[in-house]
Amino acid sequence: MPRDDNSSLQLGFLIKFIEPDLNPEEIEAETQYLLDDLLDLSGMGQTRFRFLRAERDELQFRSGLQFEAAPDRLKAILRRLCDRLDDIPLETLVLIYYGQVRLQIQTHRSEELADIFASAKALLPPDSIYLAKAETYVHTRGELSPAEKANLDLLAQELELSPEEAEKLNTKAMGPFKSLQEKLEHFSTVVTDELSQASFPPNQETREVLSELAENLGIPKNKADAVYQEHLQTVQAMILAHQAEVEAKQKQTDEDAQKTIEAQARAEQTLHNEKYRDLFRRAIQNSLYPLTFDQGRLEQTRKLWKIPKATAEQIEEEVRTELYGGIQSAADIDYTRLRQLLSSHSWRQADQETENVMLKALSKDMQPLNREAFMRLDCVDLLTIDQLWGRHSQGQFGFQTQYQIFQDAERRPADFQRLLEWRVNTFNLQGDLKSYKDLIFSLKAPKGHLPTWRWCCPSIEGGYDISDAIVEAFFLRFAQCRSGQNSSAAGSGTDQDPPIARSQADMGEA
Amino acid sequence: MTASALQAWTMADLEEMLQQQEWEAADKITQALLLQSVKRQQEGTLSPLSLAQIPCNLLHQIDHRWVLASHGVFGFSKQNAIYTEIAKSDAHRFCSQVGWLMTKIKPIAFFKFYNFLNFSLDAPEGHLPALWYWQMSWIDSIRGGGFGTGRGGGFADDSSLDALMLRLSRCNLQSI
Repeated sequence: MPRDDNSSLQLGFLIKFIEPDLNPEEIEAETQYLLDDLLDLSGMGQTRFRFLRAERDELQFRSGLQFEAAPDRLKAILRRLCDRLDDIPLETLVLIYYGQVRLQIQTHRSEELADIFASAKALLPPDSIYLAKAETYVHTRGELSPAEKANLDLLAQELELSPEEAEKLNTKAMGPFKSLQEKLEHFSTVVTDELSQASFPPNQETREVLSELAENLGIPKNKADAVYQEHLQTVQAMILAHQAEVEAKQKQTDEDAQKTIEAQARAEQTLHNEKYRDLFRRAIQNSLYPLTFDQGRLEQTRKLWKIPKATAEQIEEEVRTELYGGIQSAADIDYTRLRQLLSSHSWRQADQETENVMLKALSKDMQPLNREAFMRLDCVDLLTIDQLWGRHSQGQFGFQTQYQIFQDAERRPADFQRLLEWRVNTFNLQGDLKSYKDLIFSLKAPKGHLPTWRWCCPSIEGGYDISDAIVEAFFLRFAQCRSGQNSSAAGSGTDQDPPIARSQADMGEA
Repeated sequence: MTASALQAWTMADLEEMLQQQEWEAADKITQALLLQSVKRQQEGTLSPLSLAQIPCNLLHQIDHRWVLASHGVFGFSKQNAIYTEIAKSDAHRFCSQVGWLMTKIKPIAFFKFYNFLNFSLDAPEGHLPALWYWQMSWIDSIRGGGFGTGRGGGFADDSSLDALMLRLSRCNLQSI
């Protein structure tokens, strides 16, 4: 049934049983039978039936039906009624009306009733009847199925419509779209537009408007819903994809910004570190450790530039190494104090500290070193000590200088010690030995005079005595270390050193 | 004396003598402990090289007991302090300061005989322990101007004195 109540396309029916031989109960039963019979007809499911009431002997009862139906149902309804009258010929009043036009008959014979059909058909214009039927079909399925088409063909023939007229009416029923597919496509487009413009998810209003459109287009509800859901999911997916894209882009932007900020911070930090380095270099230009005043200033600057303490200390050590020499150790010895003493030209204390670090590095229980101990002496440490002495005395002191003098003395230990003025040329009570306290602890000392080798002596006063074996063994080790560090500077005599005979005692007994 | 040097002495013996203020006996036990530590009981004397090899730990233990028993008058650390701070590594000045010399006039400054040392708390600071320095072979004794019985009557030996003092410094035995 068309849902729009176009009354001009509805025929009114009024059927009343007026058979006097039937008692009220029988008439009511007959009415009920008619109702069930009509409801059984296709296309009558939604028809609203009203019961007609009659009164006999002060008893009210249902005596007939009043209803409206589509014109194409006319024949079917009349046929049902005729069949019934064939079985049981009851006196019946039938009234068919369309607008102001009425058609009435009272009979108990089916033949008479059948005659009314031709007249009733003339009540309506044939194209209206046809269009109503076509629209009914279209609205139920969205388009015409072959069976519906066949029905319509029959109807057209019955209404004496030409095929051209019938086709025109079909087209009109279908609306602007030729097929369900086209309708669906149109609906899809509208849904897409609507969903892309409306806020997501669409509100109730949007959904209602769309279902109204589906109805107007004649698209079945389930199909319209399917299209709607499909688009909803598509749009949802699109929105999610878009959101993900936007988020990814935002994240990338954030990361880039973060990276830029970090890079800037790093660059700034590097700049600050370098500035701090310059500042610290100036502060320790004249002394290994900054003055108290400078220390305060440096600490303030460090905090201002947010330089971590560890970083600052590292920078400070680098600058110290640059200006005052490195203090690398492979034996885990701290040369800080030695460097400090040498930088302040405290030669005597530096000499004592040299003994201290040498014994700590090599000796068991701080016993004086013997020849074997030198072979265990780590080159890193040996060269660190040498480098510190050489740097702070401008080459006046240090093992390198002593080694050069040893070469000059043609590798003769006694001559070497005399050139260093560790021994005297004239003999006295102690032979040619000097006491440690007679040695010279200033830059006025002879070249190579310091550091002393007190670390291999059991006593140093009343005769500072270094045995020949010790001198040879120490320089053998020193040459090894130098060649390891710088092959071009390696002493030419390294390989030619004669093997040193092992003496029973390195240090002569008194 | 030789017999006591050969006996195996312990730190407990030293502690006992010191508590009883038997300073001379304590000095002899100290010497015995030093000789034992460098295995020179046979020689009975300490050369500069053997002095340089006495375990630091032993020196600390002996010194601690001397300082404690004498209330800081005696002990190696006291002697080292005098040697470095007052005598400035000069043997004559040191021996004079601790009261080991018979006369104080150089160069005829010769040593007291061991029996004449002052074994009481009235002695000068750093006077004891002394036997480590006194005990020497008869040949060294005569060579040093003595009478073949030790340091007594002889002259100072800078090298031996410095050997122990250097050892004390290397072992970080310093007093106030």
